[in-house]
Amino acid sequence: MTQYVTFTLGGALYGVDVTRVQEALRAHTRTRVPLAPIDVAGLVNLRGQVVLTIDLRPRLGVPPLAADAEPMMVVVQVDGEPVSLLVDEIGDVLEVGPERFEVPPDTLDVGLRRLITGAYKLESTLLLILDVDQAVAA
Amino acid sequence: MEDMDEIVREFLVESHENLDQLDQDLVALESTPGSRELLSSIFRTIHTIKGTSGFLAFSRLEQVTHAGESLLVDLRDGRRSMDQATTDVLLRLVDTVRDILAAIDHDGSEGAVAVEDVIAAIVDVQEQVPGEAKAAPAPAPAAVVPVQRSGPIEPTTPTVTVVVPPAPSAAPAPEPAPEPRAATVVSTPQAATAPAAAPEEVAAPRTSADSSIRVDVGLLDALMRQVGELVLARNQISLLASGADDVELSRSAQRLNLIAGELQEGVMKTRMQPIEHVWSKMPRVVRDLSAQCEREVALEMIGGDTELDRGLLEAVKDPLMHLVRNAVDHGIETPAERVAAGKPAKGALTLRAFHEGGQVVVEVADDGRGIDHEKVAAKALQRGLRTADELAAMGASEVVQLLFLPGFSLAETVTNVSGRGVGMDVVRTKIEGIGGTVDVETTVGAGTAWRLRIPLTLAIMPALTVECAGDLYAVPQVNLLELVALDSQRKGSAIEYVQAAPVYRLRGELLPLVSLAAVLRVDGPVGAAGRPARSGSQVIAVVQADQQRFGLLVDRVLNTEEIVVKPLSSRLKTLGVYAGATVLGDGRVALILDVQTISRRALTSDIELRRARAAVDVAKTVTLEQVLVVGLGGDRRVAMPLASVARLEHVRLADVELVGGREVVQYRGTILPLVRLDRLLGGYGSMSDPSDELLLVVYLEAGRSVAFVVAEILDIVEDDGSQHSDIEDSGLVGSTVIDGHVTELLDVRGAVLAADPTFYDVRADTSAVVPEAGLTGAGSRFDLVGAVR
Repeated sequence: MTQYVTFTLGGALYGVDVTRVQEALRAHTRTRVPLAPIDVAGLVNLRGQVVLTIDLRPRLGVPPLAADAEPMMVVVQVDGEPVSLLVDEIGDVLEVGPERFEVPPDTLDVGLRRLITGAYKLESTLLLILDVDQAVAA
Repeated sequence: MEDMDEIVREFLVESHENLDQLDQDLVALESTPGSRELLSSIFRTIHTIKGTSGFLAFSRLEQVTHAGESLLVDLRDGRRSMDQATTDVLLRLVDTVRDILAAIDHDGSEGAVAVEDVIAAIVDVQEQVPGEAKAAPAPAPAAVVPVQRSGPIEPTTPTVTVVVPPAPSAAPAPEPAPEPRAATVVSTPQAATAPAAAPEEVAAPRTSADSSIRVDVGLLDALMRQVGELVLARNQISLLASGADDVELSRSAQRLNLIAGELQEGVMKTRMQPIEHVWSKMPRVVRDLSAQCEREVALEMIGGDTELDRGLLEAVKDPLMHLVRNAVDHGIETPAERVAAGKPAKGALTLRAFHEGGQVVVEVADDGRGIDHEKVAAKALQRGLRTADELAAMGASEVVQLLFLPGFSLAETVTNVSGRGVGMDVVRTKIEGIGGTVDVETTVGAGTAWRLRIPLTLAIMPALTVECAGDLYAVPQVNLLELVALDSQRKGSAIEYVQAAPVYRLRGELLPLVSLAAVLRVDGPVGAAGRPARSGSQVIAVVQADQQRFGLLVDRVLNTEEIVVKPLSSRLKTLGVYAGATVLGDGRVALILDVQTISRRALTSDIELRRARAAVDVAKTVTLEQVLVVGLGGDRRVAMPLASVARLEHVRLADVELVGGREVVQYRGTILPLVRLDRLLGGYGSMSDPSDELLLVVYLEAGRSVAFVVAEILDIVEDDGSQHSDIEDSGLVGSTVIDGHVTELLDVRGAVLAADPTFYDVRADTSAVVPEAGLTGAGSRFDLVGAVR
């Protein structure tokens, strides 16, 4: 059994291994980083620590965030440093067993296949498992 | 296995420290061959390594240290004395040990480091003893040594097999091994004291171990981070407390303020290490190099206890090493050359470290041949780095700075020490990478001094916060020279263009401008060729990077503050233009600009600009001159060439004395004649003395001074000579319009003569040869002097 922190992004449910997640909180004011790649949403001050914020939307092919939206942040650990992911809403921590796991279908876009390691078939929906390292990498 | 690793790690750390000590001791021993203390220290170090390596089953390490130890026993017991060959072989031993330790550090095994050669060399040196040493002790080593080494006279690989046997026997009990041998030596008369002294010294603990503990660097870094956060939290609390009426709160905030400050200081101190840590390698390096380059060098190290943040210390290591190598190889001449030049045969190389203005200065100075700027210029021309015109326009010290260009080397021949052209630019890049600066001062024939200025700590630095397109950025203070406010209303202070490159005239020199918005590609509408399309007031932050001065165009300047530097995520580091990030007092994150990178990116057309600038310069010198505008009361303005002004001073009216009808003041031990400019120029609405102080503009020439009394200092501006109108009036050479005011131009020469008619007499011959414009009217002005009198 594995535990996942879940969140929604553009209507789909995603999961991140609970051991990688440091915390989840309301989004802070971001300082934009000119010249940075499009998925870099800026820098936030997380209790004195400067944390890179990644907007997964462009990578996942989800339309950009509405200007007035108030996203949430899921702070994950990547290579020992915290990175914040912008998400729509934070969900529950789900515990799922391997019997419901399936590798991503071949029809999935190649770019997405790098980010999604697989899906758990929940009763009402699919839980897409996000590869944090890939999602944060350039 | 975990425990084992821990032991190995400790062994490595300890051994590395010991080896550094060993290097120093060996070189020191060469100059004081008889020092028992040094010998014992060396012996102890090697012995410790040998013992531990036996225990940890590093057999090669044990073999090689064992061989070294037996040579050291001979030395310690006086059977041989220290000489060049012995030092060489012992240093080689240290190197080999270091190699093996590095291999162990790398993958836990000893790797394939060859020890046979070194062992053979040690044995070789040892075998030579009978020939060199005194007759009496000679048989003794012959008797002792063969016990273990009867075979290995030939330095061939079989040596190893012969040396190996004693090793295992020593391994289980490293301690007893030297004892029996020391006992054997008792028979040697002059070494009678040795056995008594030796064990005692072996047991003597290292004094530093008692008062200090080893702390993991990661822990210190974490502490530093937390203190940084605490400081930020404190700033916020202070802000809140200052707005509230609560006395208790503000008292608590004050205490928090104090404690956090002290804590910050204390934690920073824990990360400080004396620069000695880096210097300790230098005697060895200098010794090896001077032998290799056939130089005689006396190394002096002053201020080794000056402390630096350990991260910085690490970054300074290589540049320092490079400078020292360079000084020995290129700076200091061969003994023959030195004697011929009337200097002592032994060159002096001085390393100096000291605090200055919140920075640490590290100086590498030699008394060698110095750097000939003409050679540098020739080389720069040959390499096509600068044109002949550019070089002609540069001063000697400016030319020497070319040494910092990538790929620049003065060496005629490439030695394996230096001269490959990878050098000073790397030194500079490294030092600038940690927010420091490098400069060089040199006198041909007298020596060269390289000066590194390094911030005390990397973690906290002063910076200027600026605004650009609504975002805040921090510019490191170390890069900042000055700020110029651009007032779009003011005529003549606007941005000009040389082809497409924006420039600004700063005190007569063209300053290339870089729009921060354009570099960062923010603020959408940017005109063609990177011209800032925005209007309104802007600020030029004049910054310096890579010896290149340029103006960074920003929207607004906020303030300077001490910022805590936070590292950037590796993804953003690759962008290059940011050196880090910081959290400002209000909790906002600001990016720290990397001025070096911006300079390199934006000023690629540097050569173009230089050419254009040179052309403009020629045109400009004809018409433009910087002038000091002063007020004489009653709205009267007079401008005088800035070049003739030495200082501005205030003197008390009470200090003015009368000498022969002229006003003078005593000033820095001389008598300074005063000229009341308003009276001299026959002023209208004469200047009153509103206070009991006089404002003086001191004019200095040929060591003599005259002071003009003025009412106020107004501005320093550029005066365009073509706009002058000629006013035939005494004391003036004309008038012009500066900032919308008619301003009279003072004839300084005439005015000076008014105060001191003999002022120019000493230079009368030259002024007769050079017909100056001002000279023609001198007669009429002299009349005016009479009138004043």
